[in-house]
Amino acid sequence: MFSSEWSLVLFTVLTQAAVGIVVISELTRILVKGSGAHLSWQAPAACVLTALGLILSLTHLGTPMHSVFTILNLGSSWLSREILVTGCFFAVILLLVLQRRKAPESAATPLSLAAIVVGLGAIFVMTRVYLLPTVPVWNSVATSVGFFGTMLLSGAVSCGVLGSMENRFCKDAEGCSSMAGVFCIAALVGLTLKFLGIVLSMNALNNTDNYGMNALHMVADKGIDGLVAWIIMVCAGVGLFSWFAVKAMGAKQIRLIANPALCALVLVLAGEIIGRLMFYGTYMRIGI
Amino acid sequence: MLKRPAFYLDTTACTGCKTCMIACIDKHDLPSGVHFRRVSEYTGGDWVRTATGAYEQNVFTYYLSIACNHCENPICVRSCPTTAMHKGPDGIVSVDHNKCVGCRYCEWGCPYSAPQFNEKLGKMTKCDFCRDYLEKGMDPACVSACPTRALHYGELDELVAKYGEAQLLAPLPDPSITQPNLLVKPNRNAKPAGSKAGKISNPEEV
Repeated sequence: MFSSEWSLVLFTVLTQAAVGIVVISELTRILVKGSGAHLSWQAPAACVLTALGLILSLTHLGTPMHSVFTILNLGSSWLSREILVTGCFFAVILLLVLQRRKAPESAATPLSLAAIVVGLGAIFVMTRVYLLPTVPVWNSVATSVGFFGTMLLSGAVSCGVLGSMENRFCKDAEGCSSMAGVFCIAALVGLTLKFLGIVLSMNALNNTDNYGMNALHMVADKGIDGLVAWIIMVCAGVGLFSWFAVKAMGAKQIRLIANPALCALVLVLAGEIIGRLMFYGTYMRIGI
Repeated sequence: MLKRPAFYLDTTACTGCKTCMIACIDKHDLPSGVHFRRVSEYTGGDWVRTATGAYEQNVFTYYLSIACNHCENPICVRSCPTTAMHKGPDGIVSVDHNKCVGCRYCEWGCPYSAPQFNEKLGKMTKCDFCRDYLEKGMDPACVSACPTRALHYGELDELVAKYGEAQLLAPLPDPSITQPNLLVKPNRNAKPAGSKAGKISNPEEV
């Protein structure tokens, strides 16, 4: 029921969080003038998370020394494409960090837009890897909705943690605290996608039988604890985060959300990891 | 040299003795848990009420000895990120160990469990149709070992001419996904594809 594929679980959750951080912070930088001054920790943090995810993904491989060959089948393998696009995402955000080394408060550049596009592309391709015609449990829109949900949810809460810590002594209280509102909306959209994903995945699970076992029955039999823990953790995390984000906006003091956001991040990441362990654990293939 | 090598399995003759599995393990010196050929036991049945009001059982079992079907459109080759998994000019799907990264993605996709991960090598391994035996004019190890002569091989077109078109039975997957080079003769208990009448009763063996 719960997979032991820790390297894949951590790789997908960390890179999706990194993409979320980049998409949310760079969009805020593009849309809200002058917000760049309060968003300088996000890109370096995303860079570290993506690097960590990529290194962890190597531990999944039987022969990591051959990983250079993994981009040879771009013509037909979604896994090849995933590795290439995730690598490109890391390169783009690394360039972004280097470009901003001297002026972290600078406005958005074309590179910001490139990071958003490549990041979203990476999540799309990552989704496609799991849409195998022989694995009906994964071959569903639930996988896409779930991955994009993780991206927004963990990205928004991470942005909140980083933003509140960076701007704890911020003088522009108005500008700073309005950022909390953006992160809060992103987190709530992410949570909505997660719920949609869970409902849709129940449908996909029910359509799968193998070895005389229905996948939904398997979840009902052995995975209820995990499913409940996952839902409670992400709800509690987003609830905590939104509650304090609203309070911070009212008081115009973003530092108010620092501690609750950190707790929310722990809850959301732990919940997402449980959810992802279940995702890999419910792998069931047609055939023999 | 065969162009489209195929296996033919006669389930009216197969007794599920697994000699083919053992011969394969022996020929390729496979470690524990790695099986290029697997004999699945498909079992089902229930109590049914007859016209007289009595109850009779209709239990059934049949065996499917399946290795790699060296498919025409192999999902393992399509999804392999390194191109290590490839289909040669002899129609045989095999793994190039100089490229395989051991990501096990082919294992996820193949509906016949053909690609098997070898922990010691850190790479995927699979049935290569006993290519070395074929080159010497010998039969594949599984075919020559079968005591009931339920297993045959040859050029697909010749097998079709001899035994008729491919027939599909449970629990084999929809052949349109990979176009397997496999012919199966159903026995009297065979259930149609997609049937949920039975289940594989020896998952720990295969």
